[in-house]
Amino acid sequence: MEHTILDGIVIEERENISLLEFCEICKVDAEWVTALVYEGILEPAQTGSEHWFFSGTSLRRALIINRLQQDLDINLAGATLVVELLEERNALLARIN
Amino acid sequence: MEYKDYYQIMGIPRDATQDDIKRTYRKLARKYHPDVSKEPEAEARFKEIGEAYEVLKDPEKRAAYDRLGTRWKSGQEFQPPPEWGQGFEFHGGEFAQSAASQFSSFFEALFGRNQGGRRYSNQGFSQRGEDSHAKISIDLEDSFNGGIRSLTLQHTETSSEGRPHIRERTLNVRIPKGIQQGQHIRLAGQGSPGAGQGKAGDLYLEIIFKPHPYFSVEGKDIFMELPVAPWEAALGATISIPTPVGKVDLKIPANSRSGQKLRLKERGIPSTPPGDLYVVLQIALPPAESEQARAFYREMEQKLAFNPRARFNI
Repeated sequence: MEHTILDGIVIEERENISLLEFCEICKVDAEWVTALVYEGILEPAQTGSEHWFFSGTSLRRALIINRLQQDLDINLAGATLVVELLEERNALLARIN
Repeated sequence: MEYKDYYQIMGIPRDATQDDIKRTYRKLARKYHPDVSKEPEAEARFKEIGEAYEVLKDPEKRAAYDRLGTRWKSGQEFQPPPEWGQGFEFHGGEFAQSAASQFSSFFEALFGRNQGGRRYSNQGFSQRGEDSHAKISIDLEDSFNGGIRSLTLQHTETSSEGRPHIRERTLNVRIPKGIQQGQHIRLAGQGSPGAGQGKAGDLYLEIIFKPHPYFSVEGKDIFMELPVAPWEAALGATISIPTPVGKVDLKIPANSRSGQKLRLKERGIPSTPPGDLYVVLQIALPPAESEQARAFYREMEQKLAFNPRARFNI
């Protein structure tokens, strides 16, 4: 078993993630994802159909927001703000390094 | 197993009030949250603090823990006393909503296995395993060529007799070509095992590039400083430079300036679309150490009529 080579997916490179798969990966329900879309932090691709598709960046954000909510007991708007500030900080840190 | 001093971990006195414990926990949780913190070992600290809080926030568990006495030191070899567990109700209890998902074997020996889910509990006995997170350091070259990295992870497991022990497992993970610093590989089903019919959690690996002697990385783009001689910059030259996939010849245009950036299109990280390689020219001055060199600089001064500060108008 230990010699098996594991293939993973690179989250940030994923595209067109369906709502179902999105919920499955984050272990959340669709209602929670909908709330994040209305918060403006997740932007599903408008494909013309009624189904939502998400980018890997959205998935990454949702995973962090979920953890922040659970671990630090902050509400959706607060967790969303933290994620936006984290992205800004990481971009600035990357620039000075 | 090792004794854990939960008061020391949280940095509070043994007679701290429940309010103090809660306040301290919330402060530490914000400081060491792995998504937010830049502290080294933040993840490990966060788990440790979560475990300490799980015990100290509950007056019943705290009282039981306090009964072990003060003679123990952190890290000391520990076995629970034989009468341990009698008269307490928490064995096998639910530890829902806990910040830390995987507790130490010390915790499990005292208070039983963590059977409560902190995220979404499924109905009945089945319980999905927790997601795990780890960082993996790779060379920049691994992103160019792809490759396989093995990493060793530790987790606590409970044997058939109910004793917790630490198990190590080695995973061989394929590093996809074109991966970037800070991206995450998700390995479905490689996190903590589930309970009952519950599926295992997922494992997330964060990619960290090891520092490189020549190259720095920003997203998909790679930067390198290239020292050039004044005559190479002035007259133009073709120079061999290293790239992560081998040598290439770079043409330096005549009259190049120091700090000038030359872009080698699509020589950066090979994702889709690929990044670029930027070469930043640094003009290196030959030292004036010999009389011959000094004479040559004086000759330049006389013949070139060059004022590097012309824009100051003084």
